[in-house]
Amino acid sequence: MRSDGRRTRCGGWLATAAVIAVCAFLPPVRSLAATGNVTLKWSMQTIIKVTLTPNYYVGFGTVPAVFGTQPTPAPGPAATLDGGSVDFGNVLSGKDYLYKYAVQLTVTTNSSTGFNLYGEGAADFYNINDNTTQPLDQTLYYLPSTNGVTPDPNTGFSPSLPFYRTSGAVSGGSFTNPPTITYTTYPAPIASSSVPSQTFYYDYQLKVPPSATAGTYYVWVVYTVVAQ
Amino acid sequence: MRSLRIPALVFIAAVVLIAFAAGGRSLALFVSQRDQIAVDIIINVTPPPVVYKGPSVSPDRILTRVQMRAEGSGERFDALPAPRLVAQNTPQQPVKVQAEVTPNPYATLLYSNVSFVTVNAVAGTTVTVKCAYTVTASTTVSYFQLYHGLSNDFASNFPGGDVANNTYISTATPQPTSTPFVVYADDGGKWALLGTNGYKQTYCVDLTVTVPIGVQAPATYSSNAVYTIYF
Repeated sequence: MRSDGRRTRCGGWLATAAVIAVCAFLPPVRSLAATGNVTLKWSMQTIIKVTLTPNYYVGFGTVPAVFGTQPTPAPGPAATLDGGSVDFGNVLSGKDYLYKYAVQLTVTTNSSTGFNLYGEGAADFYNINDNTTQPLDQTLYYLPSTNGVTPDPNTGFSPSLPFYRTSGAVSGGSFTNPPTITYTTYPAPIASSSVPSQTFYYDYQLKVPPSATAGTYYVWVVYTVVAQ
Repeated sequence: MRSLRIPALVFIAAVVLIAFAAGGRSLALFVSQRDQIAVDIIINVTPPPVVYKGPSVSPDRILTRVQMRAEGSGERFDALPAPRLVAQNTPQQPVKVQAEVTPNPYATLLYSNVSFVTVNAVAGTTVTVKCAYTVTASTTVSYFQLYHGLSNDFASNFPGGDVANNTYISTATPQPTSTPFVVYADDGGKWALLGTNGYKQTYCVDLTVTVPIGVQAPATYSSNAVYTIYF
């Protein structure tokens, strides 16, 4: 019995060695080389940065609409270089004016498909002295400008487009406090970009209605950027 | 003194004779510009509808695309789908626009009922807008001249002359035909005489816009119709 048992254990070792030897000489298993498609999906947080610079270049300010030689721009007292407001200063009812180098907007995003730029008035053009208003789209206009290094060729008669009063929900927006607009439906963009980042330059035009009463008028223009 | 008086009288008589002989036009020598306004003309152009044109050869072709790649190489590794943008922030930036308005005693000397008009048109088509806007001259003089024209073209391939006007006294009948606007920037810095009249008159302006087929669309174009009064 003892000698048979020893023979049995030796036979087990030999069988194991034989199996290992056979496995070593087998060809590679084909399933290890199989190929297939792997679909990767992920979500990415959009990053958008907007920088607005009023009166962005030397020579900003109000120019009456005339043909021929253009008067020297003269802004109102609330306008300062690279800051303040777009202050047309003293204007006459029934007259048209250009405001040079009004706004520079620098938009930076990580959206490879670009973005839309929206610009609307938070309200109509409001007279704080007698609480009357003038329709914004009959009063305030915008048009492309230059970076200033290239001189701005616009006049008070250059083609322009009106700002519209927003149909979104406005929060805030007093003379001293800027508003915010909450949109459920966006209006037509004033500009679109197919690249992630771009800088825009705008002049404004003020067409003072003949019926405008005397006083200090203001409106907040709100720019919104939405990735495409 | 007597020798100077006679030539002076002759000169005055000659001026008066010329004025009567040439009618109103000679009065232009003695008038000056009193006011000038602009009406923005905005044209929204949409592209013409796309028409499908069938294949020129009748047999349909069967396209087969075969791609090969090395065994073990990645499959379309550089064709990953675009990431899905979620929960985007919508930053806003406000700017205050303000002005100190002072009454203008001449604000109602020449004015329009609107500061802009919008015309929607398809590229390659013509659109007419009846009495798109009015222009009113309100004077106390019996004689004034009214000039008009566009400040500039709508685009390099969309000349201002593609917009014609039919301007007439609002209580009268329109002119038989429309006339293309002159363009100040192209036509030597000159306006066209719209007409002469006196006291208060309101003009209706019909616009006929012919959009060239080759303009970029969809796009928005604009120019200014400028009116200048002399007396």
